[in-house]
Amino acid sequence: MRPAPRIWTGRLAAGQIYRLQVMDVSMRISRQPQRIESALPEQAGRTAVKKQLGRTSTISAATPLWIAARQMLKIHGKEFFKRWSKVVKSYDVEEIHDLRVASRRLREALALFEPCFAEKSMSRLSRKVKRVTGVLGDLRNTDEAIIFFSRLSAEEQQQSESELKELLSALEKERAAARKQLHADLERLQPGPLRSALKEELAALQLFGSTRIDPLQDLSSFANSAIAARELPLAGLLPRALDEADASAQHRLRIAVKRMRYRLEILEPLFGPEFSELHATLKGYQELLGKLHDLDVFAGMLLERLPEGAGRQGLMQAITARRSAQFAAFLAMLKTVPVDMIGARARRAF
Amino acid sequence: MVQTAADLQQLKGVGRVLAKRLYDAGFDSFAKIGQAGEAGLKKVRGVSPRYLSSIVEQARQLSESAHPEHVSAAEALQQRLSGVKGKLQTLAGDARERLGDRLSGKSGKKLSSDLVRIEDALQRVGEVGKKGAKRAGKALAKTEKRVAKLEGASLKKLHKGLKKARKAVLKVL
Repeated sequence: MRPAPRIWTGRLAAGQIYRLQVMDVSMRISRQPQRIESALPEQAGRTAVKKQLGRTSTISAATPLWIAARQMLKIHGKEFFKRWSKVVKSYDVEEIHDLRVASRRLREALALFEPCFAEKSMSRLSRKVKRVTGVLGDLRNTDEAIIFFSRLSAEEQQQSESELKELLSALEKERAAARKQLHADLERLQPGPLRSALKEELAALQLFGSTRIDPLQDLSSFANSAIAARELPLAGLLPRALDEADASAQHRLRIAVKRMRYRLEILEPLFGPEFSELHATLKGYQELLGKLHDLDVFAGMLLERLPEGAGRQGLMQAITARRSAQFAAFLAMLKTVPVDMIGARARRAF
Repeated sequence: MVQTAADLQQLKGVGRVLAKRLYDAGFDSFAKIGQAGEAGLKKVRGVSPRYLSSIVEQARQLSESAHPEHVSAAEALQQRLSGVKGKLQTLAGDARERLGDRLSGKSGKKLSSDLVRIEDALQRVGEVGKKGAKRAGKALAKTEKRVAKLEGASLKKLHKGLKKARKAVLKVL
């Protein structure tokens, strides 16, 4: 039987009631551990891909789609496997983060060029890559939570000293368990078969007889529709995300923003100088919405791990105050550059 | 542009100390030393008057030889590659128009595979260094001719022709 949601109610700065549906959050934690956005930069992988693009590829707006698709998938695949081998060597936090980002970029590239290949072949591959993204999530979640709770202000820490200690020690234990689990999971998920599967699928590109797409068209005409496809969810999700209490809509909007960002990064060779501005805007939105989501997850962690009481209430208030500030920053950003207009701007930029 | 001060030691008459002085004075490329000439270089402490003209001359030669030839060889190779890829694209379009329905099944898959494999080989050629650029250029010229001849060919001839073209490309590697 599905348990009834536990509802924690907090008061926001503007006097609005903030209801956090804890069941939703905890379900999200267990099902989608990889969703926590990192505070670490995502630049390393992108730079490596850019270098690779500059060195080996001649992709431009006029490049035929079938050539561009294979080249780009190869580059993102190479980056993903390179990061994977680095993680296996060191299990370093940064490397784990880079692998997660590389896996997401590869998944987005697979989704982008999917119509050029046999039906379902790319989604099969994407599911396999997603397993890797998934196993990296638990460790990341606990790392982020430990960083957040250890960096609370002295006053906030003092208010809930014993609860915070208890929480941090629980999280440390979880981190150790997650690290152990990650070793086991990555040993189980060997990169070899996935690499061969990717190679095989890339060789099986369908140049003729496809009813879904014309692989002989140039990349720029394809990119136009590809960006438009990612633009729709942004516009659709925005109205609900404007409701501060609707954490799930904000979370879904963040995912849509992230997908659009990765899509633009993949298609970067097509863009002119406007790319950096578009990219920075998307990154800004992703970070803001990511922080909002992190706070929701942290609140869920508190409710799951700490008993009710003044200490927990104090920590919840600290989270609510931060969430409110982040949401205000999100609204302010919307006024400067509306998120639903980014796709249209991107399509005009090449 | 040189990466570090030590790179300037390639110039005869420039040691570790002088290289650092030159670098600190803003001479971070051989071209800049060449442009500054003897008069400009005299301002840097420790440049031997005996080597002055030689350093400037060496710097000019290095700056000229470092870039244009290498860039042009690489650029020529890339242009040639784009040419062959363009021909492949035309060939694929032409085949689709002429052969239409015949390409929807196994034959289409086979022709796709031929084109993909030759594109792979071309991609690998594009990664050869400047040493192999000249040789690669020649092979690509041959391939371009072979591919151009295939326009209007039958499906069987297309398979054979593309196989030969791919072999010609792979010889370079």
